[in-house]
Amino acid sequence: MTAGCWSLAVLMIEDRVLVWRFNRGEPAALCRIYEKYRDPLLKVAAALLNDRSGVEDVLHDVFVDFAQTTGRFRLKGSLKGYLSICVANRARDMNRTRQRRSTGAKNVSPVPDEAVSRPADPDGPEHTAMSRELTAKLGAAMGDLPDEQREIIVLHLQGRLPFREIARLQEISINTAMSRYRYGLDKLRSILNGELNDEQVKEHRTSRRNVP
Amino acid sequence: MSKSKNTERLVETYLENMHVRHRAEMDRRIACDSTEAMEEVHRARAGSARAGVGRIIMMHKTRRVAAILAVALVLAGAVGLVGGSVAFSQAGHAVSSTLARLKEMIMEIRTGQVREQSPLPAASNEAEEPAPNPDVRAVMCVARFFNIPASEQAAWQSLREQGIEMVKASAAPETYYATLSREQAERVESALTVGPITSPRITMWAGNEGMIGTDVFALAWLPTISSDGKQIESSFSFHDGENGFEIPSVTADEGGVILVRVKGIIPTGEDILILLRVGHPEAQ
Repeated sequence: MTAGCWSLAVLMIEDRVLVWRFNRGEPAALCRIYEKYRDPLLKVAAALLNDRSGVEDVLHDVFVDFAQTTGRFRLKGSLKGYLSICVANRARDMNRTRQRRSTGAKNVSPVPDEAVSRPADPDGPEHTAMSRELTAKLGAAMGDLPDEQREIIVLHLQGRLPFREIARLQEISINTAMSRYRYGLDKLRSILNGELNDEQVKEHRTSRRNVP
Repeated sequence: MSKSKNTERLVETYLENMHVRHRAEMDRRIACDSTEAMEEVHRARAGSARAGVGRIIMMHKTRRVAAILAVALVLAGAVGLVGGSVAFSQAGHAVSSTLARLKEMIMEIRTGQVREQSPLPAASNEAEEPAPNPDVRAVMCVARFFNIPASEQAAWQSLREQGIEMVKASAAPETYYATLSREQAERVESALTVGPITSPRITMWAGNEGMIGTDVFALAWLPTISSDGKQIESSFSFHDGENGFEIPSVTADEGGVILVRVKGIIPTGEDILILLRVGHPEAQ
């Protein structure tokens, strides 16, 4: 077994021990789960919400609901995967609720706002401006995707969940999950068509990677 | 690079570089509300468990059978009352002993000392239970718990002399552990002048959690088996609601033991020494 596999196994054992303690009603175990997965879950919520002011509410609701399963929670697969799917479901509900409230209003695109910050670009203001433009375009394009496609893309690329696990947790077939992912990427490409060339993509990636 | 791959990497970079700020206020709110929700569930469950003796009986097959038996014996007693005094006294004795056992079972549930803790199915129930998965193996842990008084420092001296480094697992309670070979374990045990206070053993399916310990102190044990089936990894943890420790993924050689020293738990100042020997049941 490789070192990576061992560390994953250790991580999963820790999760199992945490879940076991959580089921016994230990608040310390719940707090540890929260601390451990807060940051990745916040990112998933931010990427899925049309209005990012609800990021904290999503996380709050997910953890309160999760806390209520104490004593009967059975972990199948990874804990991070389970919580990520809960966040995705809650974010979808919140998007729909807010969309209904603002009847007729245009869908708000997930462009950066004050809840989301980005580090300064060391390559200068011009590069930063271009990078911001690309980011804004990508954010807007992501906002135009259907919920189910955006969820698969975010859960796979950001949550690092394999398609098999996403499919199992969302109760869809693995082929459906992969198709939604592919359709989502195709749609993104068509939205961004002509606006992004290989050079821009390369520069965008390089500039982001250089950020400490 | 294909356009599809380009888009994928671009989105990946966009998502990776998304920085979401979190506020300490948010952490406090979520921690408070979720902990409260969890405690509420446990309070409600404790209340309904007290009220629902009937439900407790119906939850387990053995308790259902015992309850039916009790009812049948009461009926038999009623018949015996009409038929003769000897039959009645026998039936009365059976009823009282069955009720005593039922009461015992309910007490076990309330105090958390359920006898049916071993998740291995009993041999006689094999026909009724689903066949065990051959990929999942049984693992046994034999533990020996010692109370080491402050005057008995020879045990720790023996460890140091053998060059055994103990790893700190926690500061509260102060806990150390080490994995010992068979020879080292024998030397440590021979250096002890006190006998074990208890030597419990537990058999589990790999991947399941179990408890092993004394009346006042118990460890959670989670064994797993490596894919080649050669190594058994064990995670041990303890928590009293405020403090605790976790010993993740330790493996001892064949015949070796995992040694755990816990300080400051017993009010008299004694240390707890635990020797844990993990292996396949047939090997032990």
